[in-house]
Amino acid sequence: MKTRISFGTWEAITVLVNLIFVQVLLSYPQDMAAFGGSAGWMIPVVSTLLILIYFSIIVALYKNIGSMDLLDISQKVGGKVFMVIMGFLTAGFLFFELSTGLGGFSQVLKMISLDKSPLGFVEILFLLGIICCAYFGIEAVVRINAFLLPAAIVGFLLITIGVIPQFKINNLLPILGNGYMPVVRGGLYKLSAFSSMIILFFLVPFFKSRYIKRVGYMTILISGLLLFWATLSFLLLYPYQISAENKVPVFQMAKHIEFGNFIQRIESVFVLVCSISSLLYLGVIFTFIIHIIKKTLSLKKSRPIILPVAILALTLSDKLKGMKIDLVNSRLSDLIWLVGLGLPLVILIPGALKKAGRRIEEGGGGNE
Amino acid sequence: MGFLNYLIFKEHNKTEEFVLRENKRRDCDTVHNAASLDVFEKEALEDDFTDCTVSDEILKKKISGDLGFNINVIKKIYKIPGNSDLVSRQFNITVADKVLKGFIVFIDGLTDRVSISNNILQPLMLLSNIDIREDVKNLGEFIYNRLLPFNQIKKVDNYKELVGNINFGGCGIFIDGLDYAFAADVKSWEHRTVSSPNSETVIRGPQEAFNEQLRANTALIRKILKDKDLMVEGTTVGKRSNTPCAILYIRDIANDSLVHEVIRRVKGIKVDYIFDTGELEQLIEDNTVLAAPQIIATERPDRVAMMLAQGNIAVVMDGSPFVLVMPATITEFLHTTEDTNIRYPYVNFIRIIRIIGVLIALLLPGLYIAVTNFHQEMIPTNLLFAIEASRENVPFPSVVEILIMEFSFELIREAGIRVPGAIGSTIGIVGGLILGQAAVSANLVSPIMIIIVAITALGSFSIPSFSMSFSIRLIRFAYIILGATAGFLGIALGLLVNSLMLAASKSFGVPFLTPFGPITNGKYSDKLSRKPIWKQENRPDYLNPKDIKSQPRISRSWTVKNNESEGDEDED
Repeated sequence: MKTRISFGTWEAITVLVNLIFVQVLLSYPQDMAAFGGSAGWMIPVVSTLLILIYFSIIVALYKNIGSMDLLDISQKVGGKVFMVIMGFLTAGFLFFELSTGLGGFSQVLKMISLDKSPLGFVEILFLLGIICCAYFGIEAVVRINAFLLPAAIVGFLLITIGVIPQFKINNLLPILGNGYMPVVRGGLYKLSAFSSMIILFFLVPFFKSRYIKRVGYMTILISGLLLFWATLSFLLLYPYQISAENKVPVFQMAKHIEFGNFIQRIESVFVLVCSISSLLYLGVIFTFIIHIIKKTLSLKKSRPIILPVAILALTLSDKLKGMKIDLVNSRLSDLIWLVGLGLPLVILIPGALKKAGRRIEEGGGGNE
Repeated sequence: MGFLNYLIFKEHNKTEEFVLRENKRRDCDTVHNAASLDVFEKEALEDDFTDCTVSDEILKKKISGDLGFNINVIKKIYKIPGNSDLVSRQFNITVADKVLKGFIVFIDGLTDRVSISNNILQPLMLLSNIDIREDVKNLGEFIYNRLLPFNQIKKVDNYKELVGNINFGGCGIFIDGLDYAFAADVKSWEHRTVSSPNSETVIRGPQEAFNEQLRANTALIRKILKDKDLMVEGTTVGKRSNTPCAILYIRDIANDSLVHEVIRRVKGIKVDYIFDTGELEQLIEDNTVLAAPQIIATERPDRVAMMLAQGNIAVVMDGSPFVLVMPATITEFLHTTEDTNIRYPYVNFIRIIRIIGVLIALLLPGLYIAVTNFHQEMIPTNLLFAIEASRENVPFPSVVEILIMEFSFELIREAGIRVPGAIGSTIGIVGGLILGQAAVSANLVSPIMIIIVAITALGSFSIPSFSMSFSIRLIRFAYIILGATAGFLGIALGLLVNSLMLAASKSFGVPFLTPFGPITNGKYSDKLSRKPIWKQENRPDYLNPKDIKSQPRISRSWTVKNNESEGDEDED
């Protein structure tokens, strides 16, 4: 007997929020300062508004699609061959994201906490975590997000609330910073922060398409709020000239917290928040890569491919480190990440035109 | 003369050395595959029947109308007179001026001999001589209706069922000419009385615990529930032991598929013997490797009754003072029956303490190692100096130090449980106080480590479930290693893997982390915290009970005017 996997909207929202929120822990506030100067806090607002428009188009397209994921829609649109091409493109994009994330987070944690350990050791710890995630499957990974992410967000809020006494409102002046154009341009570039929302289109069969609106809009609003608050508090703490130079911004903020004599330094809380959040992020991405490969190639079992794919991700991560291009913080990388928003449109538009989901029953999406 | 024994050689008496030889090969197939009971009479097979046990095929045969043959079969089955506690007796009864031969068999020590004499033998042997004004149309019915004034007696037409009854304190009665036997329930053996619980003590609430008797245990539950819809389905587990079990549920509350699954798993066990519900638990649980228990084992009838009222299923087994309740979720392992009996503010306070206790028991040593090795900046300067000063003369790294202490603590706990009561507490004092103090004086461990281990132990004692406490003690070591390996990243990795394992496991189809992962939308209000008792309107929705409502919206009808209250009840 097959067991149907399903989960609620809250679980789906937490998965997606974490995929976006995790940017805050790397360099998002710093990038905003670099883009918009003292008006950097406006960029997440612009990005959020733009992504809301993007998502409302997606919702309109999904009306004729039902509870199918991108692979099912691809198959309806262009047959098995198109599905395999799209499957590999999507998996490739996520694989690239996984490799850069693996390298990025390993470096951050080595820099702030495990300075005496070799980078490879930190990467292997991450690899262990993501292998476990894929081994236990989508259902378990999604469910733990529901209670681990709120804990991580509470830790993040504690840090940002802790530095409120040191906020200087003057840091936000001039209001428009370098002018409105950098803000708009930054808003467009930094849509890349939402690129991991591609996972939403693989979550749909698990929570039914009628909830897609709630999941999508709630995800965008919550994560937009977190991005906005992180950037705003960072800019309020540091003048933007200094902000743009600060590596791992939230960690730098945590260093400023002072609660009397006893609690003097709580930046280690950031290490815990960053570890939990990044493990969840990489775990979710890796689990969905395995899910996509399995579905694309119609594999009966996915466990045999977990270890090889994980080792490939580690290898690619090492190769990317050797390259001179910054794939986490550069504008080129922002453009690459936008693929995550473009790919779904390539599949959804013809899918909606063909009314791919009309004859499909609710829930039929190969999620068993 | 005694002195001469040292001077004169004298050969010692030779003692025969015992050699454990292999059994003589006996072809038991002839006996086991015997198609007919007639083979019992054949002399050629007598040796085979002496050495080979009687197989199930023969036990399933119908009882013969020939008393002599039945006596022969019973004697073969029980190897009478080799079995010293088996009692058999032949007697005569008179029915309608005809003298018939009879035969009883029972196990001494498991039965009430007075009852057998007064209620079985005396009526059959003496009462049968009284002239009863009734025509004897059917001999068996006449004996059943007129000559056996005993309350628990039934007709049995095969040897297997009869032998099962005899093994469980019954008395088998054969009458010549009847192709069935009577099985009288005369069980009576030495047993422990109902006493107070040992491992689940409460201040507020009943002070009764289960004992080793199946019927006493089911009665304790029925006494509390007093519900006509409480079902007590009987079955046996163990191919040889035929240990009686009872599966309890409330038929208009418990989910049907859940009931069927429990019955399917219990009846699907193929073992020779089963001695305790601890074994049964391991045989029916979903995941063997998972550290956390997936079935609640309790010695409290009130806890079982409460969970049955929610829609859970219970399994009682003869010989075990612990009853299994399933399915179980993580929150239920943190609840006690006292939680229901004490007031709403107190219970929530105590549950917060308990959750903190669990977190301490699980994470404190690992966090301490992570902080002292990787994140020293977290420690306030004065405290850091104090810790460093206390560790100055300790030769081991802190991770070795804590592993030694944790291991010693587990050793003391294990030793304290295994030795008799009075010495057990002495070991606790010796181990905990004297050994700890001596270890600090000898600079083997630092005082701060003693404090950490002691607080961790207190945290683990606050966990109500013995099995869950075990699980946390076990996982704690993994967190220590992870904390020592990679600081907070290691701890986060541990939390991730631990959460994944729990999120992926189920107890009888119910996700173990319910109601948090998945989050359930029902109005069940006894999760980590508890709402006031009058607001607990629903049963747990994750059990999919037939009747989700446990009380109306207004359960305290005295708070509203009479007419409104009546309206509300009608609505419900």
